[in-house]
Amino acid sequence: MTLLDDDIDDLLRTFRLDEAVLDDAARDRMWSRICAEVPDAREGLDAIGPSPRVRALHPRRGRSPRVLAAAAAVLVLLAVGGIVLRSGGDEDPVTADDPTSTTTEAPAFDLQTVAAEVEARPVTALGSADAARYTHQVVERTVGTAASAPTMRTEERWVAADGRGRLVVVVPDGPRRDEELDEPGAYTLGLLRPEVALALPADAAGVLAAIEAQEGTAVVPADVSRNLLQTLTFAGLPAPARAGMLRLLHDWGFDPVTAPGLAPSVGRVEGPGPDGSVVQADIDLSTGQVVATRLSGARGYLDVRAVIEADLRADTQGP
Amino acid sequence: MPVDDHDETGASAGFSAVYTEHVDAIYGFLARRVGAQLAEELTAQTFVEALSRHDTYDPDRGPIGPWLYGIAANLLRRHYRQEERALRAIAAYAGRVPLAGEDDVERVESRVVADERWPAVAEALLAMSAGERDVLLLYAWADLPYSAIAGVLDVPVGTVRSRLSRARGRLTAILGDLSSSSEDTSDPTPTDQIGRRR
Repeated sequence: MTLLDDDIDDLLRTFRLDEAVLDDAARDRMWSRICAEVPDAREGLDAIGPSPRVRALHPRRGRSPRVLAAAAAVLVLLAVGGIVLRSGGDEDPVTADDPTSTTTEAPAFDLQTVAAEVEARPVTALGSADAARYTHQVVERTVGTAASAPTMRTEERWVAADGRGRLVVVVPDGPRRDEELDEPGAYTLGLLRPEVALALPADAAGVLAAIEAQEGTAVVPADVSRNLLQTLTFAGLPAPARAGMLRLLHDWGFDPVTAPGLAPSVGRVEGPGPDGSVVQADIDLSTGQVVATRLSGARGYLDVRAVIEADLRADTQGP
Repeated sequence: MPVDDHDETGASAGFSAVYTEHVDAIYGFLARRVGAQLAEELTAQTFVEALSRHDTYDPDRGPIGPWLYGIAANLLRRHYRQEERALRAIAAYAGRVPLAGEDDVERVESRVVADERWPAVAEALLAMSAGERDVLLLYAWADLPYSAIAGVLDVPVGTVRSRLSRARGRLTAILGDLSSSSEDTSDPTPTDQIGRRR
């Protein structure tokens, strides 16, 4: 049977159509929210001057970059537990009952430091082959100085490894660009210095890309990378709250688990690691900070950070 | 509810009227892409942004609807992963939707047929680039002409045409295979949504 364009269009028009229904309660809720954020909306004025209050508002008001960063750190540590770098290693398996099971604490990072460390230089459009190497990200950055009011800015960028453990970041010029990098346009190419990249859990997607670029030495579950990218693209981070954070992490694919003895503000989640292992993370839900991680039942597990550091030392020191 | 504030010519006037006129369409477009909960948030953000930068809207460039879709599409870019996750769920689950309360026989029949092909539609949408998906769904769901879509996405009209053609081609390829097969006897086992990471 030959499908005509009209057939396609008709089919699409019914797809998920039932989800498009808006009831009065939802309509009113949204209107109330709009009026709360922009009080002049209720007046229905045609021309509303950009008042200082309006300028200061941001659609993602209330999302702290620190909470976003901490949430990213959760998935980074869980992803670190989920990475098998070399199978068949000599390391003994770590079990849940093993008193030597590994616990680590997540480092904090500062988005403004990230912005300051990028060394920008202009480039022309990338070829399609190069463009395919890049992973698209959308990140929020806090910009501003101590003298000016810091604001959140959303930035699209593409991250890839240059084969030497360094992360290449491509940032398009202009507020809105298509995600296809092979289209002509103005872009700025920057390099994140390796020591900065290592210290930034939010760039773990790029770190994983660097691992993947080392052919034959890395096995990275694709959904791990996707989950890390979700930490950078997810804009619906709720205010720090137990139910909200656990729901968020469950939404990303990690199960909240009950555990006796946890402090009231701490939640625990777990997800699959390599070779049937289980990675757990304890999160302070009042701040979003990861307070501990555990890896149990792993075989052949290596510390990804140590591997990257070793590779970079070899790179900088030469043969 | 906001007052429908029309002037004597019948033209919409005032932000409340803009909201009343366009909120259902904007919400419907977003809900079908990322689900009701996120759509409510994004719809509200769309209108907040519209109000916050109303001075960037130029009536000479066209009606306000596509301008609002442009804001919504920009907000939606940050949620492509969530959209893809929903599409994967539909592709895996058969996309059955209750038809209770549907009185129109033709609509029921079309829905039954459509439901059976929804997993394939979801797969085809997943196979597209986000740019192709944006163009296709702005055309099919928002019912915008090529020129308006070009304005919404800030791309040339030629790019809209080529992406729409590619997107339809992907759908045709997948749905054509489905139509040509005698019957689909597979019964996909739903994954445990509450279980461990998929």
